[in-house]
Amino acid sequence: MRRKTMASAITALLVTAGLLAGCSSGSNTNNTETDPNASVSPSAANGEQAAEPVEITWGIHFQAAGVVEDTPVQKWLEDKFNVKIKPVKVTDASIASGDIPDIFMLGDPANVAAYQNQGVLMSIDPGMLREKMPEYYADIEKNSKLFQTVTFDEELWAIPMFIDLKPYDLAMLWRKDWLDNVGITKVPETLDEFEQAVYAFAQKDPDQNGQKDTYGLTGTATSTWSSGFYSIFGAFGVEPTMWHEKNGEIVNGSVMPETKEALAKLRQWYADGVIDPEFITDTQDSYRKKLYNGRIGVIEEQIAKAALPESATVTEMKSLNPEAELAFARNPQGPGGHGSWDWGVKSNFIVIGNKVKDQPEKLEKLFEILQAQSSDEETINRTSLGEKGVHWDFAESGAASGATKFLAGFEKQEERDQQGIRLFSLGNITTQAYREKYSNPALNEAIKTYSSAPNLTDALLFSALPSDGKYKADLTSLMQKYFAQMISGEIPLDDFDKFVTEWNSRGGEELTKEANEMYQAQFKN
Amino acid sequence: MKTIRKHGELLALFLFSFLFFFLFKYGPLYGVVIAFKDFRVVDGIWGSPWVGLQHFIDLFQNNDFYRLLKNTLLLNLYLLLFAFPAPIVLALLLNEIRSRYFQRFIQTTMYLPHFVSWVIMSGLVIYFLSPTSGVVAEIAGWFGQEPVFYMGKKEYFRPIIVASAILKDLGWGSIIYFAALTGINPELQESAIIDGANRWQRMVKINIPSIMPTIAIMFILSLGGFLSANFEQIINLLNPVTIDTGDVIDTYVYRVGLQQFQYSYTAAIGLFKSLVGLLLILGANLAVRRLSKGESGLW
Repeated sequence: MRRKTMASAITALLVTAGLLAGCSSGSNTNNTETDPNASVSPSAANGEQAAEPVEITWGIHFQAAGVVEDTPVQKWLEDKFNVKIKPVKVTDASIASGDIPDIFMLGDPANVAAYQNQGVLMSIDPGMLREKMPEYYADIEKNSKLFQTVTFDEELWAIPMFIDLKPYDLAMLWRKDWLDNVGITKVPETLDEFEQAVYAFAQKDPDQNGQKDTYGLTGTATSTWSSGFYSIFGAFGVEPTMWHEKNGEIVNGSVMPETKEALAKLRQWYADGVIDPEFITDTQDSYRKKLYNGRIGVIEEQIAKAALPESATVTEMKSLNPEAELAFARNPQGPGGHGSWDWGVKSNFIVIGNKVKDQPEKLEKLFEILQAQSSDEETINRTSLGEKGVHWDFAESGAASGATKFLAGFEKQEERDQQGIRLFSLGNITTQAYREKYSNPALNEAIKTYSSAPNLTDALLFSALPSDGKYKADLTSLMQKYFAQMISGEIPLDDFDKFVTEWNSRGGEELTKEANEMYQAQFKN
Repeated sequence: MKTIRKHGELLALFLFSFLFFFLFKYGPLYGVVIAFKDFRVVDGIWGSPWVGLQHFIDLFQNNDFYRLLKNTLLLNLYLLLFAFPAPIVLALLLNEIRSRYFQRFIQTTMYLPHFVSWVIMSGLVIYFLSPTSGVVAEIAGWFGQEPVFYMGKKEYFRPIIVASAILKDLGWGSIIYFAALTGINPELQESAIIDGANRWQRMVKINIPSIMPTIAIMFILSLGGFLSANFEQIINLLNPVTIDTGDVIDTYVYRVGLQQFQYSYTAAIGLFKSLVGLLLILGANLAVRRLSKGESGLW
């Protein structure tokens, strides 16, 4: 009796389970099918104005924290282009579950390669690009190699964007008052002067408090892409993990002989107490704090954050320590020239979801919006700055061009996200004419003065190699481990040769071969 | 049918946990098949091509695999040896405190770190252990010790993980033992006192045996998560220098797999880990049952 009821109870549960399973697999199949509502309506195919707005799933700007629905910017776009926008946040997990937006942005050729491998992207016809977006195309043709970085299987998988004046290029930010205190009148320009200054910071009590509590500099050994100390490596003409061209050969910056020279210098500095031992755990955030707190005397900083009196790091320093004086300078000139980590002319990449392939009407719409985002001032301003007079204005009152500023209440990025500003902005797709009109001449001047670009950048423009996915992350962490230990004196400098052997055998050799093949095929000349 | 009606309320209660486990634990098991496939988003789980045991072969042939397995096993072994008994000791000690208020105060303050996320907690740990501004170096300095950069030496990584894990979850973990201790029949204690047993004797003869079944169950449960413990903690404390001793299976999966769309490979690693976990649970349960002559254990 008891057994029987147990059995029927279990049967009931199993039936429920079956129903649930049925539901979930049902919704799965729906996902993979194309939405029948989105098929082309006959009137639109005839070129008439479609009455029904096209529905676009839009992957919001990847730096935005999350979706804000029905923002003023979204409504404005919907009215202007007769579309219905569904903003979504793109993550690897959302893509893996099959939710692929119609349009979104990716940061790197490596991301584009990974997504293309997963089959979620639609290939883009360069002819269509030229026809629909002539101004953009004319601009980017000057950097046509960017197309090569996102061309796989002889098809174009993303719309590359380019940038020549990069506000995020790095240069050196010095404690000017410390330099004065240790008797150095000239802000260091060469590696030797740099060395003198950082030694003095560590040894001559630059904060004049009678205690030995200062260091010259610190680094960011845990950065996700390289080794930190970019300007020091740059002075020797290398950047670890970057691909460099040398006499027609492509070699990796991690394993070049110049890298060993740079490491020898850093190792010496560490042994003499010039480098903060915490360089192993420091990040860009924490080394800025160390500058503010008077623990180190020089950092690598983005030009836009440090070159002008109103720049973020300068104002922060002033507010925390009004006595402190800062001076901005170029990266030190060494035996290999001067340079720092340089992302090159690439900006982000716009990609289109694979389902758009079967919806020519939607593709047409997307290009209409892209063209407007590229050359229509009003559209660009709305999506990236908001409404003039409400959200932003020119920095100089009454001006009609130049630097812009956000108005009270919208100064923080999160506040602007609530209005939808940035969510649908595509950044550097804009034409040169627009950029000239809306940029700060002083900042442009500063970038031209301080940036080491284009001295040291990736010879392959940061293209993804076929085996990058297999080896790159592993090789980067191998490099970081060895370099941190060589700098801190834990292992002898001659272990560099051991590192090179290990690097090659763990995939570096294969990558070097691929890099050379790619260079010969796509980037030479 | 009669029984169902009779125990209707209980079954209704059970339904919720059944639904939970079905939806979130058993349902997704279907996705495990991608460990034997080459998963591609556009083809979906079922449409991706089969590759048999290829991902497992890749895993066992990977040079890093044995280092990862060793790190994972060692770290978890240390956690089991030190972090597992710590809350038991705390609960036993707290139980001996006479003042109720003091007891409650200690308990409450010790719960607090549990509610701090590892992102913040690891920032604090790094700060405490800083050779120049950390409190640990400061105290060591009073005894004439040279400051040590603990985070920058790979031999300190496992002790740091164990110590910070204890620091964070000591109070929280002791709740269940404390509850078990308060459930001991006070008559036992009273008669022991009359017989002249001192505190130590009462602890060893009454308190510990009384909470033994709880300890056994907690032990088995903690073995189930043996290989997947403390991912958040490790990923936040790991740096390039400590990667030799600190890189465990989960951090590797995160770095290589999830960041680079290698879902099939990582699913294979996950499956392997679950298999080891299952064996450990079965083994531990068997051992516990043998030792307690069938009186405790999960089943």
